[in-house]
Amino acid sequence: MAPDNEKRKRYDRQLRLWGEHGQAAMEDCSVCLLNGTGAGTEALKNLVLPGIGSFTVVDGAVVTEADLGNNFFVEQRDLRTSRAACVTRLLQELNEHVSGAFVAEDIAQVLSSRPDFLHSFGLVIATQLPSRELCEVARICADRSIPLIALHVHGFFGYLRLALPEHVVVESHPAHAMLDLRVLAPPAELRSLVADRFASLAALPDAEFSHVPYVVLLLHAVEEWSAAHAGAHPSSYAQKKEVRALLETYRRPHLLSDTNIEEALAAANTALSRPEPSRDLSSLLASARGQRTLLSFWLMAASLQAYVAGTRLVPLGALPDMTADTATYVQLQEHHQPSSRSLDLETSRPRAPPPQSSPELTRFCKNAPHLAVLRFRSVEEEYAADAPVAAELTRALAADDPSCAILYILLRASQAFAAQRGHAPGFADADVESDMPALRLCVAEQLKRLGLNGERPCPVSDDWVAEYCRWGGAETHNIASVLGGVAAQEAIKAVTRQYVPLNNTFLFNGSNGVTAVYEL
Amino acid sequence: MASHTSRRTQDVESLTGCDLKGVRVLVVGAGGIGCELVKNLVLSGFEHITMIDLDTIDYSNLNRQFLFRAADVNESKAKVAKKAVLAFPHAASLSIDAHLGNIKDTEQFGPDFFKTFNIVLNALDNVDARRHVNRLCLSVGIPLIESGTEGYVGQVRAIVKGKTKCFDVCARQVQKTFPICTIRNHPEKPELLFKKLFGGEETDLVLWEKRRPPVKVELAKLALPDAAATAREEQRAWSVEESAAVLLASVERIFTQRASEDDDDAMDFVAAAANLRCATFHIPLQSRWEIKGIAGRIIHAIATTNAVIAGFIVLEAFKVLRSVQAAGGDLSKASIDACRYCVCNRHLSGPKENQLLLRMRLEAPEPKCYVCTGSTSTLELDTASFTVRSLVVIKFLSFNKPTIDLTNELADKTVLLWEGEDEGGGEEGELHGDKPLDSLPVKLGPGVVLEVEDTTQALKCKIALTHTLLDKEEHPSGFRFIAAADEAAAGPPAPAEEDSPGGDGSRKRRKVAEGDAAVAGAEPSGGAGSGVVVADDDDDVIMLE
Repeated sequence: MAPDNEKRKRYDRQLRLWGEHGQAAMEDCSVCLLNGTGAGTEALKNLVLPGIGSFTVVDGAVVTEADLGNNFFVEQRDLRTSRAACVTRLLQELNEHVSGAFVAEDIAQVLSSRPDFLHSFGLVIATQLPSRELCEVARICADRSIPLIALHVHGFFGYLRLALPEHVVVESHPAHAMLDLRVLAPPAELRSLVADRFASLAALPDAEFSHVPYVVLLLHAVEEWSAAHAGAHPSSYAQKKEVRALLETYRRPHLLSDTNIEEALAAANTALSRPEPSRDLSSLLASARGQRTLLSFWLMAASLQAYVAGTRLVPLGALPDMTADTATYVQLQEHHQPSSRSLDLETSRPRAPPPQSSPELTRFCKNAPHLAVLRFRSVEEEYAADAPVAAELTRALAADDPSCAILYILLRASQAFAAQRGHAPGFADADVESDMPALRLCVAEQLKRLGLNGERPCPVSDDWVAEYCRWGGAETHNIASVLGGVAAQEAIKAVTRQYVPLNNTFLFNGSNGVTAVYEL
Repeated sequence: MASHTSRRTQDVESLTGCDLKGVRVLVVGAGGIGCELVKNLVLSGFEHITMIDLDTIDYSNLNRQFLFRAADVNESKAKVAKKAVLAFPHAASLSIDAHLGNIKDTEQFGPDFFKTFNIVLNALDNVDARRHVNRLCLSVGIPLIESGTEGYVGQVRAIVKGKTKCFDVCARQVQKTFPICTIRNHPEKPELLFKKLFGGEETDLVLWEKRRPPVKVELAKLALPDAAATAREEQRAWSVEESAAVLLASVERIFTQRASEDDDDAMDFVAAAANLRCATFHIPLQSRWEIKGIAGRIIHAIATTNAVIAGFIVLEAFKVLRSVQAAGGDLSKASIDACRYCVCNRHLSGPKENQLLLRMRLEAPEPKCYVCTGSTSTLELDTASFTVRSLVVIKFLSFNKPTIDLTNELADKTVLLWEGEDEGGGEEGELHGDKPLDSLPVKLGPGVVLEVEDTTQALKCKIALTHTLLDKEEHPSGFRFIAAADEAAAGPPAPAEEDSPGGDGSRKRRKVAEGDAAVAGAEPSGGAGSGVVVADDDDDVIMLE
């Protein structure tokens, strides 16, 4: 089979999800995995399969018995050989369109000889890194605007920290998209369509009436209402209710189906407001002018701001599905194109680079109501002595199930423990009991550091300390697998700029399945 | 065996409180979820795993089904998965059985087969098979962990006889169907088909007084370009001429080489035919790729969601096994309080109140569920046009090999309508599979019900028939099924949301879950508590009904 055809078939099920442009962004990205652990290889597997451009595994460890027990990408014969080499070999097998490489050294060692080693990557995934190395890597990533995902698995606990440079999202796919039908500000084409085809609803034969798109029904009802109110637009709830009452009068009781009327009634509340920019969008646009970056997002945003300032409207979003015959729907769709033309002019001004490719601009306009920009706290700041995370953690500890917050504190404590003693608490069976007092001390120290020393009773009970020691730093595969799934999902969001990534910490208590997202 | 094995089992045992020795697990499906699942099971220390899948490997699987390689295309999924897992380090005591077969083949996978397992894990891609497994697990009393993914969305839940709602209640709404009124017969020659489809004579379509009438596509007047070259263009919409050329070539191939493994011929045909129809009715032409998405109802599928969902299947399985073990092996005495209905949300994050995973308490069994209790449900349809055979052929309510009686409960009169096989076995004359439902020996009316029994699913239920002319667009299947449970005055209680570390906005989160389900086209929200049923991680094109 021709390589292109093979590729298209291989990626078919995902292309329909994130489109050709999403796939192109994936294939442009080179990812660096620090440590080929269970969670690390699972995350990488989920990026190699959909075709990330290339990957490099940095890992100074050799394959141990423990790896054979929890890592799918090592083989028996690899025992005591380089872990970087064998996970790279086996991950490479997953997809011949992806190229893999490895460096069989610890990242600290690599950075000491090649400080710019990470600079060329589009994404760094760091797993099971001691806190000092993690902070060092995070600092480099922040300086060079490289997205970073840090992962830890400890027993039944999973931790993910996302640290992206300022992250702009065009295709944010909000859970509740704004319904924009321009009922209160119908474009000329829509008006003439109504005048041509649906001038009188009453005159339509039944078969046609039951296929009148609900946007047309709404337009009629609004027009009727406006005519009775000196040309005003319905705005209050009571007035919208009157419009709904008008819609009710359009019903034809003898008809079996009046789905379109139901759709109009359901949409009446949201469709009867002017499609003005939300507060979030306004503040995003307000910051666009000051941006010195040449990132196309901000150039388009600056143009959008001008458009919005002029019209007080956001560009049209996509036309929602509705009961209608196909031909009419297609006609409606043609009138419901995002108004990218008005933005073209702006971006082609002399000070800006040449106009963006039109699919990009069209996407931008189509998603304009829900553009998003995320700013992440740096890992360094989180790990600093006076980190501003106390309020968030206090809230988290007061939740119905505070286990995720408790586990986060334990993770920080165990990192301190490991830094002092060179191994995870409870690492050897004999240590479980003896490591507990030391871990408890680390917990107290971390609580102080996190600004939580006022909490009484101590939020991390002795039972939790004992449980954490009992896990002994073992990386259970099933937790690694879930975390690898989440990590890759967030990586894909970050790389494709589709959907809004989490900001900034995902915690997973695998013993009861509870998850939480906190900004730490 | 190496010490990593003992270390692993020791970890799992001490961490989960589960003794996996001797636990036999059945994994139904070796696709997207199945690959992840079998890997997780092996690395979690499960030792006796049986896998069933009827499918063979396709290129489009390779973006997530990581146990398969391009060289494995067209091989059995179950068998390749087994081979791949055994190539990696595993316990000496690990045994994997792999079957290439249909889980609905009850000769091979009947109740006796199911009884040999401690737990069944569904990793299936279609509602019909999921309902079948649900019924068998309920009937033999084996706990089932149910799951599904679609794009970024997925869900997992335990189904335990007498303790939870069963899958049927949630999947009652059949997968979306579309009326296909065009491509019906098997014409002998491509030209004949062409004439039939594009020669005009539209009687069953809407009135054309006020619209542009359809235009004839006349083959004789078209200059046909090279079909093979056109067919390779996936992203650009073919012109009318190109469509006609591809159509003729694909029909020729379909009828001369029936054994074609690839669905390319069929897809060429559908894409070309669809475009010509579009031209006839003034609808913009679409690319082959777009048409494949529409016609195939292709389900988005990615590795990440499957990874998360498979992980949760194992976690839920641990909970069930642990409590069954604690109850001395007696499922009826085991507590499933720790189990949760887990929904993986695409809006993982964003605003802080959104969570990756929504966790809800499992719902109690429906007191009047026709699967659990055999109570009487109602079927509304045109009794003058439907026959018993037509109901059986469309896999009506996912029955496998039903025996169907028509009984007048008031007059104590019964007539056997259908027995067993899909084709309707038994002796001619005894059965009434081909008669319209309103001209059967027992007249429909009050107290008259279909008694359906399917021994292969250990299921018995009663269905009352009501003559109704349904709107074709709203009910393309031509019938509407009203389960007994729907008739109960009060809807089922909404599942209690819990474990919300955010502490606030639990109502909001619930809404998000429903919104997602609606977008995913997964499950029309039947009632407040119906929750999310994500249909598929499906593969192949389902073209015509």
